[in-house]
Amino acid sequence: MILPKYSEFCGRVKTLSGASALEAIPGELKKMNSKKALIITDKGVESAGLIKIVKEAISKKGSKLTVGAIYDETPPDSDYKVVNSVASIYRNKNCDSIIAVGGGSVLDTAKGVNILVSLGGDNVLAYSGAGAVKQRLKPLVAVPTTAGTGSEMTLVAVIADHDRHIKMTFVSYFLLPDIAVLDPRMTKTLPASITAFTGMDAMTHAIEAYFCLGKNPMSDTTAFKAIQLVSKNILNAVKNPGDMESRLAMANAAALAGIAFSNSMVGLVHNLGHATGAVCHVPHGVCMSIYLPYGMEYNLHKVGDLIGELLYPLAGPEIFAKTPKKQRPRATIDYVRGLNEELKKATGGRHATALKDILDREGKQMVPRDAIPVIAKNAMGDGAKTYNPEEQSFDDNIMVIEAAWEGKPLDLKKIKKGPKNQKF
Amino acid sequence: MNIDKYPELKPGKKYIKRYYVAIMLWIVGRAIQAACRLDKEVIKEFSELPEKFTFSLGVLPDGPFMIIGKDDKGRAKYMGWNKGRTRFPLEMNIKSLEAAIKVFTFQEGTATAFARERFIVDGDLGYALAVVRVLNIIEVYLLPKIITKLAVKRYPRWSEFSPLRKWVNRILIYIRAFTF
Amino acid sequence: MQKKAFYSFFNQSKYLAGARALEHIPIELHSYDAVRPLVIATKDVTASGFKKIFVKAFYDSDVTIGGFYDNVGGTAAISTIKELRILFHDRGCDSIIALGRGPAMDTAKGLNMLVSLGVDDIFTLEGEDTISTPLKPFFTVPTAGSCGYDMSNMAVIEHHRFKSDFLFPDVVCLDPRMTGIKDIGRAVESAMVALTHAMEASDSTMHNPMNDAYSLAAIQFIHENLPRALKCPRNREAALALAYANALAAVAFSNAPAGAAHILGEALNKLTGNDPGVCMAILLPHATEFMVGKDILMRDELLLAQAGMDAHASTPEKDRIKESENQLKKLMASAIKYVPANLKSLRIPPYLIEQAAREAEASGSHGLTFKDYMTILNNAGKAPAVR
Ligand SMILES: [Fe+2]
Repeated sequence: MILPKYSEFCGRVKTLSGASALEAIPGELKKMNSKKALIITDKGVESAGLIKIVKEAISKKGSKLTVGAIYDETPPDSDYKVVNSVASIYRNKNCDSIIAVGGGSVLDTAKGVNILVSLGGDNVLAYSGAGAVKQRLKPLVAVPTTAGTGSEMTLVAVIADHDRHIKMTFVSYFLLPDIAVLDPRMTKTLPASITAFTGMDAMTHAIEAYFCLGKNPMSDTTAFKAIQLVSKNILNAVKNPGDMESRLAMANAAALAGIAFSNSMVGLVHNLGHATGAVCHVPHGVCMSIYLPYGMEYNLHKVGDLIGELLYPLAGPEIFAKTPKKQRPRATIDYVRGLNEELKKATGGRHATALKDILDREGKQMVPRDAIPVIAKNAMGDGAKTYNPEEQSFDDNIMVIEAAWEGKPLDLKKIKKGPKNQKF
Repeated sequence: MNIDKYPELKPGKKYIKRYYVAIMLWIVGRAIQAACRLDKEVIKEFSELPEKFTFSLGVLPDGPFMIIGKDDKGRAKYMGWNKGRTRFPLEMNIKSLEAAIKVFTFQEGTATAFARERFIVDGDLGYALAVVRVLNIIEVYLLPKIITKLAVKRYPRWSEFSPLRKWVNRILIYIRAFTF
Repeated sequence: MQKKAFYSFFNQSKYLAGARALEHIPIELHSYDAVRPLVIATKDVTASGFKKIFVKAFYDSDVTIGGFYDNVGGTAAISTIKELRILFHDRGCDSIIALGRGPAMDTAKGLNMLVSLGVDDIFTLEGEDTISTPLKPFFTVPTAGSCGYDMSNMAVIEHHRFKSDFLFPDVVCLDPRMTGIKDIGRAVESAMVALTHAMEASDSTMHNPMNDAYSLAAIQFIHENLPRALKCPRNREAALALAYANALAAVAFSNAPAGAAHILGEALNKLTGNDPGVCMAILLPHATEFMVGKDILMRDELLLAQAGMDAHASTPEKDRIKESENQLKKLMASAIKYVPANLKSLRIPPYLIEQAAREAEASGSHGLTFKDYMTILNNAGKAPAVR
């Protein structure tokens, strides 16, 4: 195991996992002296019937927990005004904890609300920046409804100020949820294509965590486990959506990958993915599954050994043993491409494997060819590139995005290679 | 228990290391100012930053710092080391003096230092990345290749292919950084 | 993964590991709004020069050490804890840092309960989950050699046991200047406790992927680095890795029921005064063998942690558990100078052995009976002296 010269690790979230994990929430909140929870969610989650399940689960016999209010109008892009107004709901209803049911935006909103109701004030933006929150906040329970983002394990909240067109970042260990609830009932009704690309988002978190610059012993073991779980379960979860065991395994994988990447950070795949999402509004996971093989190819000359090791959790010990060491890095990349192809088949072609094939609901192409330079430029301002083993210039970005647009493997000869002296 | 046996210990100071880092920050600050008048890439990076942009780079908890701002013509201007209580749109801080020593003795390049969580960045990350790119270019100018090569992910080709640009600029940056 | 079973997992600690980790403490304290820690250290700390390094790490920061108490002996004592409360309040401290070996950590945990919860008698908090509010920021800086509890969610103070998630350290700082091995015997003993905790936490009936990430990492660290440390105790990297393994194993142990080797080892330690690490090391292979027979211990994946990907993948599936046992025995054999191969060499009278089995049955693990424990003890008793 590689022990870096210096590293930090923190996974300070209590995990409750299982087919009836939701039912354990009241007991855990009781330990933290909480009696009345505010549920924060969005319309999509509510209309999928998930809030009903949560409400029933937390008011089972013996539970002393009541629901103070349900806020289900969280916008897809968390907004500080929403945060401020939800905080007043919390105060008016005398709640003493928050349960966030949903994806990234719901959780970001909940984190913002928690800052306000715990520390006082009426504008959350006063607490933005790194390390501005220095105290324990009220109990926050995160119930993810997709298995992928891993946001239940992250210490960051991004809240937009739509008037000024900026996104404010909040970073503090006190923003980590106290509890993450991994319950397969929350992901059971996810459509196949969403299961596929969110699962590949988790896979990307784990794979990038394993070879990017911030890797450390615990991010390695959590990433390793996550890759194993995704690889074993993703196809089954897509093909048999009701298979609760696969659903639970995927939820676990996403949480593990979340721990891995929030401690090790991610690289080129997320860098270009964020930019593509920002420019063309492509869902995050879709970008991840497309760019993932390119991220590995691009860094092959620097961290090929590490990429070769990934064949083990991906393909299992038998294939790993049969593949000679020198061929393992290539085999890992081919395996991921193969997995993408199978997911494409299993979703009736909806799981795109090239940028040019991504279609929106009306069947229109989402990433036009002339967007490539805009994406490449946008990526220069995205933090993930810091942790990518190889340098990324604007021209490098163009080369990678063009290949991903066509869906053709990278020409390894064209990659500008820095020396292979990777120190961790 | 006689509690006087266990007195309070006020933090001391490591003067030499502090001065070393202060001097390095001064040099880097002056060099950025000089490079912003000579190097195409540095000029471009700065032109893309917002007007009146200022940032600080320093060591927690109380310095030394260096402050760089954009002047009226959009060029970088070294604005001294005294941060006081002012808050800047972008603050890049190294977590401790010893970590700063690692960075400024070039044992840890910027990317490695970020990966090892030596930095805390407060402000827009996009701007921070622009600053990191500028710092990497400055490093190429100020230091011999043998040291820089260890600190950056990929030694820029332009500096290998156009010795003229590198050497002319290098000399000019040296002169302008050290003269007033 | 465990089918459908429910699990919960928690670890509070943040790890700072590696070069100049100590110098990162002020900034971590800062994130808790703390500027005046009380430092509690074991006696050996000042003599070995650790104090000097530690104090220097706070130079050029805004943190004042409220007091540096370096007089914790072999165990945590309530009288000391009560006196430290006076020191803590007198100096207006807002946080606690424990430095050195286990007793310093336990003392610090006791003090933290006292000053944070406003109780007069911490023994009223004995047992599990009796605390429901967070305590003051609590950091630990372990030196080589851990008792297995120091970085867990437990504290042992004068034979009273406390277990609560609020007892986890907030920050564990592993600095190679502190974790260097001074006494290789001690280091082996604590590695054995860690190995026992990690192995028994990842047994085949209770394991979950979160806890696995910790226990398997600890096992891998120990298998890779104990032989290196034995060969050269001054190898700083190996020593740091072993300290990291201790910390990770403590988390695995906090999140799983205690296993047979741990319970018996503790009982023997209490009854005979032999080092718990030595007892657990002797017992672990036999407890493992017994549990394998019951289909409880040892999973395919252990071998992966012990021997690495290539060895695991090239061993046929059906042989992996056997090979895993061999790996364990091999590791024990490499440390034979510090941990004997059988219980006989500890010269424990038979009545105490029986007593230990009875006590183990009372604390209960996997529903093992007195007879089961006796089988393990007897096997460990008459094992050949050479491995
Ligand atoms: Fe992602």
